[in-house]
Amino acid sequence: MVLLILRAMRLIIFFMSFFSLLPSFADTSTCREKSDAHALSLRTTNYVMELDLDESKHQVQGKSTITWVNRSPDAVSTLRLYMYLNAFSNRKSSYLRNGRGIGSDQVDDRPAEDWGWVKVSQAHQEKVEEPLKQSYVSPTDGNPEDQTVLEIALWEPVDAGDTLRLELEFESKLPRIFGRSGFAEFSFMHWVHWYPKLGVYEEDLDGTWGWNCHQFLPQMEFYGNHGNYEVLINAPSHWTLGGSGCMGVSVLDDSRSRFHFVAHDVIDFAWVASPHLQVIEEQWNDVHLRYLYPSSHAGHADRLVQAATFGLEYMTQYVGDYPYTTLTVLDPPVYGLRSGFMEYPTYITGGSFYAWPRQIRTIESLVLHEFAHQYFMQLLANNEKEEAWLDEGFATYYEDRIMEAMLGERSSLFDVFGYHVSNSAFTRNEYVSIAEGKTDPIGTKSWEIEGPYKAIIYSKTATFLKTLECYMGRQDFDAMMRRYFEAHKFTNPRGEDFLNLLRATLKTQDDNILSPHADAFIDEAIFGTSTCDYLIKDVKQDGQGGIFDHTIRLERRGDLSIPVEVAVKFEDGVDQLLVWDGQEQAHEMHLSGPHRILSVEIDPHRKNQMDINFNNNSFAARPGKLGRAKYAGKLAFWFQQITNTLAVLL
Amino acid sequence: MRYVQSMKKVFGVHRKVVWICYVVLLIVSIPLAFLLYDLFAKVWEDSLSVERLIGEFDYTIWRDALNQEQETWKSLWKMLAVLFPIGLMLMSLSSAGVYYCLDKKSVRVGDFLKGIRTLGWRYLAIALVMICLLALWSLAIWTYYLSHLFEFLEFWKDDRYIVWLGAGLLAIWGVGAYVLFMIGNVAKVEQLQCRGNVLRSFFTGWRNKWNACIRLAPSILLIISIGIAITVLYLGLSSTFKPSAVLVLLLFQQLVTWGKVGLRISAYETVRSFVVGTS
Ligand SMILES: [Zn+2]
Repeated sequence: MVLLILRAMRLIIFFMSFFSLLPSFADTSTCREKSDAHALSLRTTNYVMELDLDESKHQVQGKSTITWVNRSPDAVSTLRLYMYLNAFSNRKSSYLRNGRGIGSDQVDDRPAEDWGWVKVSQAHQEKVEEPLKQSYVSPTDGNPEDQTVLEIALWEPVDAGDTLRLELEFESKLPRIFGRSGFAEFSFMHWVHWYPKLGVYEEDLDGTWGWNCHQFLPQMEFYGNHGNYEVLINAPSHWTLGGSGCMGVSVLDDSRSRFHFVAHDVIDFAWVASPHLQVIEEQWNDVHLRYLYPSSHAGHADRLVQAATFGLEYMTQYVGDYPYTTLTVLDPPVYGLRSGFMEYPTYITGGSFYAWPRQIRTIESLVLHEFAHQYFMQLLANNEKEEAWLDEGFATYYEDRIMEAMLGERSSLFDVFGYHVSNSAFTRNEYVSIAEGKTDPIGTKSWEIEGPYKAIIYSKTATFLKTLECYMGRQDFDAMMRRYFEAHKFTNPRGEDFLNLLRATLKTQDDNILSPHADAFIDEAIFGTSTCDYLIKDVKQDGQGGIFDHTIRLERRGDLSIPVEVAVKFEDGVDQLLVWDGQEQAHEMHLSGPHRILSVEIDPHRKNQMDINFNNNSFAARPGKLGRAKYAGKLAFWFQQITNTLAVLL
Repeated sequence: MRYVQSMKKVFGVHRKVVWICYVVLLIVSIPLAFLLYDLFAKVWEDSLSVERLIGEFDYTIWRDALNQEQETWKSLWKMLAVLFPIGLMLMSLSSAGVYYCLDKKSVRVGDFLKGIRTLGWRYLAIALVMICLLALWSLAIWTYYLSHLFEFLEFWKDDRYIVWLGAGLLAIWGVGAYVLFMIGNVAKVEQLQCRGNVLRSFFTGWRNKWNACIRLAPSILLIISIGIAITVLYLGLSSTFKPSAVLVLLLFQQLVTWGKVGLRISAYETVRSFVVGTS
């Protein structure tokens, strides 16, 4: 009996400790988020966490209260949680064992303190004293050594529509940075994939409900439900913290403060902590912007500010409202650069070096890419593990567009001495450079991709989208994207959601030459590996009695077919625009008239960005020689310049 | 003032030698222009891209050409791999002719060729030794920086220091490279008198060599600065140039080259008179 009372008391104390976590806005919070602000999402999974940061050990002790709403028709009796820091606990994890994960080249001679892990020491279901049983499972690759997915068996199943309240005590230890997660020198800590996080209970394509909770494998990112996060972190007062959502600070004692983060309707929570970051704060409409950067990067902090505010402006205009009240941008110090180039809800990381030239605009392009992810992965929270093209490809496409709107169409990425490269031309080039036979379909699950991941998932998708934009017209394309955004924001859309909308939109476009052949084009572009190269085989002009018979022979290499325009210019200055549906491998066009052909060009407006070689798209009856002379002269100049400087020394 | 005087002398007395050296440079670079002109015809055939090359720089035209015509570009590299060493060899040999003419106070083509015949291979040997030493020096400096770069990036608190260290090493490397090549030049002058073992004379008379290095510095710096200025000017202007402007600039470059050859010969003259006059 005494034992029973004691246990009951322990239980009461245990739960009280969690209730003390409920929001207390008595601190000096600058947060303008209200905890009961009207819900933007279904708020299926919600977290309240209280953490003690042990900065010397790169560790947190945490208590987490997860509330989860069962939106399936099933009674759910087991939970699955991402425990991704365990991917960095030893070299047997699925992430590290085959050498493909970022940082898996740095596993040799790693001291014990450079590995990381996350452990749940206690898990309780509401009102049940007995701790829940936990075990690691490997649903993705069956690797028994992998500990990145934790299964918890509930005492009581959660009925359809009911809410589960789960209490966890956990401990997370950062590794020296792997991928983006971990610590670096000078107490820099980037907390990513760091807490026990619930997977997504969903209906798969066959109509079966279950947990979609993959192990952490190379090239994987996020998948989660939208919800609220409230995170209280006990950390040194003089440190700079930043992360998802808004942040308030209340002083606890001489040396430590409680940093209080609130993020609503987001799919994840990531944060950075360092004693050496500077902060700039700005306001854009309702959005409070925080920029964190090391002092050596102060010279280009304005570039981060310009990119982020321009991005907000642009995406709001062309895709949809940015519904959050904060955005935090981290420009990591170089010793923490491995944490850079990544997107988290309302928090993004770029990357730069001291004295990075203003003419090389990678600082801007990185910020804009990661910012575009606020729409594609965060608001439209697709499964980044299974269909990464839906976020990486779309973010790259908008990165290209915003860069060109902000910095000019021709020179948005690079502009040194008038040699300019636009962001989208660079993106297309990555796709064009994929070696033949070394590719996978865009629609492949990210861990199964063996070809060049970035070129396939990012660049090919973005080039595909740009091609669609060119064929559909920007206005119609933007209208479609707005519909896609409005229909699926704050949910987990799938590739088919987008593709169905795309197919349907194309069917309504009577004047679009792509429309009649759109289905086959889309299927091959997304689920196939073919490329296309349209070219002019030859042009024959036979003249008799002042009338010329012209034969234009066109060809397509590769099995990705798309209708193309063919522009014919005649000597009398008349232009003719013809259309070839591009479906056969070869095609002949016959024309006749009183004038000779001056030039023929397939796709004169470069609408089909998927064409891997534009140089063979045209034919000129009298090709000029000056262009060749110009570059021959230029190279001769360089050669002479180098040799006559060396002559001094020889 | 000394350089103005020696330049006057070079363009007055040694005019012919200047012309010979200039022609050597020209026959190295001009055939390349014609070879490239033909090569571009293979790359772009009779497409409209050729016409577009006339205008501003177009990244896509070049990238597609690089991606799709890899075989043709390989032939360009092969061409350069042959032309470049030949050019360097011709220039090294011509310095033998120049020194010989200066030493004999002669301006005859015959003496120029005789100089190449008698000294040419020695000069080539010295140039090769210097190139090897320069390679070793570069390796010594840059292996350190590059092999530690990731360590710097990860363990240095401030990336300014990484940039400054790079700049400092570049300066040290530049001074070392200069000293090496000047020693090479002095060694060549010594060959005029002591026709014996290249190596033996190479390791003697350090004081003279050092003085020559210092004496020569202004003219060498001038030549290199002109080179950098022209390069920057050309880079800054040429991307937007029409073909005619490119050709005009190429002609202008011939004038500059001619002037640089003169400067180079007056520098030889200085180092020769110094080393020969005091040893
Ligand atoms: Zn991305």
